[in-house]
Amino acid sequence: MMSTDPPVTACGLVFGGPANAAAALAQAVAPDRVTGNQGLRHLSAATRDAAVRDVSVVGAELLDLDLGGLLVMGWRTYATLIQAARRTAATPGREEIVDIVTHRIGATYQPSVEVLVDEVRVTAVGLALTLEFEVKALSAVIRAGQIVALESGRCATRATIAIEGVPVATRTAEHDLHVLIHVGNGIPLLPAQNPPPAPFPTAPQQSW
Amino acid sequence: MATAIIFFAFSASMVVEGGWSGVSAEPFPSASSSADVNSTGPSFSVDPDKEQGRPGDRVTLSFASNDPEWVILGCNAAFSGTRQPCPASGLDLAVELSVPADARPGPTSISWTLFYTTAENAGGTHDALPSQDGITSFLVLPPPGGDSPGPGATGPDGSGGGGSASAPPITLPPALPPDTAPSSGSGSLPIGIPLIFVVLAAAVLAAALISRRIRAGAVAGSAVGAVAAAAPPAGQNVRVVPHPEPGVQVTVREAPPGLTHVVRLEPRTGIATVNVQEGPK
Repeated sequence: MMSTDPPVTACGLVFGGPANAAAALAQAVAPDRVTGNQGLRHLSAATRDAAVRDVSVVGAELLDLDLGGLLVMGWRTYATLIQAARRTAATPGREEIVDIVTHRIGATYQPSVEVLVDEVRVTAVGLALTLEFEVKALSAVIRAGQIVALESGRCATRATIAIEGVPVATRTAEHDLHVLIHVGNGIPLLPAQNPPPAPFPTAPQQSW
Repeated sequence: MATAIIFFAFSASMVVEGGWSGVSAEPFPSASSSADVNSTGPSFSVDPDKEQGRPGDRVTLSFASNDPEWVILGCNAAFSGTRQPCPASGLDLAVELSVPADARPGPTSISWTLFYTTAENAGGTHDALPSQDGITSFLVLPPPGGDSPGPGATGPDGSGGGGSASAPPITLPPALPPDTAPSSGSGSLPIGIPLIFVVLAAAVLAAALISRRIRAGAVAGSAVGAVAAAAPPAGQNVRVVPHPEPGVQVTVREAPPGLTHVVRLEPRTGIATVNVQEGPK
C-alpha cells in the first residue's frame, strides 16, 4: 500500500509538530525550570536565550525520529521475520505471509546537545526518547528478504521525552501500521552485507 | 564615540532630574552584561501575539519591562522598511504590524527599538533616552494554496538570530547598546532641557566620573577607555553541537502469554498451503 503521507515522528506524536516541540523543549531547558540546565544559568541573558533556543531547535530535530523506521529496526531483529526473510531470499519467487499476534518493540535514544560559547564548551544538555510499541495482529507479506506488503496490523505507541533524566512529555497513540510504515518497493529485513545463509529446508517439511 | 554620547546624555538626565545619586559605571543597561540582569540593567520582553502568519496578516508586538525600576517610554518596530511607532499608552506598549505582502515564506525577523528610563524619572522630561534594539523571529507562511515553507534555516550557529520554522519566537536584544543615540527631537519623546545644557552637564559629570574611576584604579588608560569599560561586554557567539547517539537501542519482546505468533507459509503457487503455529520459546 503506497502512501504519500508524511511520516509519523516521535516529536510529532508527543508535541504535535516541530514548532511545538522546540517551544516545549525551550521551556524545559531554561535554567529556571526544574529540568533546566544549570550550566546555562551563568550565561548572560542574551547568550542564554540564544543557547536555549538553539538547544531546543536542535534537540527537537534530534528527537524527530520516524516511528516506522524504528519499528522496522525492531523487526530486523525479530527471529520469526528474519527467518522468513532468509527463506524467501534463498528461494526466488517464494513468498511468505507471517502473522504475529502481538509483539512489543522498545526503543531508547539518548542524544545530547553541546553548547559552545565563543567556542568554549559551557555545558551539554542530555535528551532521551523512550518508545514502547505494541504491535497487534501483524500480517506481513515477505518476498526476496523484504516486507513487500502489510496486510493488517495496528500499533499502540507510548513515547516519552526526558531532559536531563526528567520526563517532560509523554503521549500514547494507536495507529494503523499503514500509517506508520510505507512499504514502498519493499523493506529489506536482512543486512545487505550478509548474504542469506544456505537455503532452509523446504517449508512443507515443517509442521506443528 | 556614539556610545559615549548616549552614556553622557543618560547620566546627565539622571542628574538633572535629581533622581540618581551615586552613579556607578554600570548604569548602562544591557541584557548581556551579567547573568543577574536586574543588578546591572533593565530587562525587557518583546513578544509577538503570534509566531507565524501569512502576508497581510496583522501581528502585534508587545513591549514590557521585566523590572519595575525601568519603564519603557517609546518603541517602534517593522518587518522591514519604515518603523511603526508604538502609541503611547501605559507602561507596557505594543505596536501592530502587517506582514509584508511580498514577504517570502520562511523564517524572517521583526526589528524593533525601545526607549526607556528609570521609573522615578518616567514622569519627567527627557532629551535623549537610552534605547535597546533587537529582533524577534517570525515565520511567514505561504499564501493559501502556495508552497509550504522550506525547512528551518536555523543551523547550529545561533548568533544570527534567525529562527527556523520550528523555532519559537525568541527575542534577542543586542549585546551592545546601539551605536547611535536617539535623536532628542524625534518621535513622541518630549523635549525638556536644551540639548546644549545636557551635553555640558554630561561632560562635567563624565569628567568627574572618569576622574574618580581613575583615582580608584578601576580604569587604566585614557578617558575613552574608561567609557568603554562601562559598556557591556561584546556579544558572545553561541553554537550548539548535536551529538546523536550512534544507534537507537531496540529490543523486541514476544507477547508474554500463550500463543505468541503464527507463521503461515503460502508459496502462492496455487499448490500447497502450510500453516505453522509456534508456541512460546
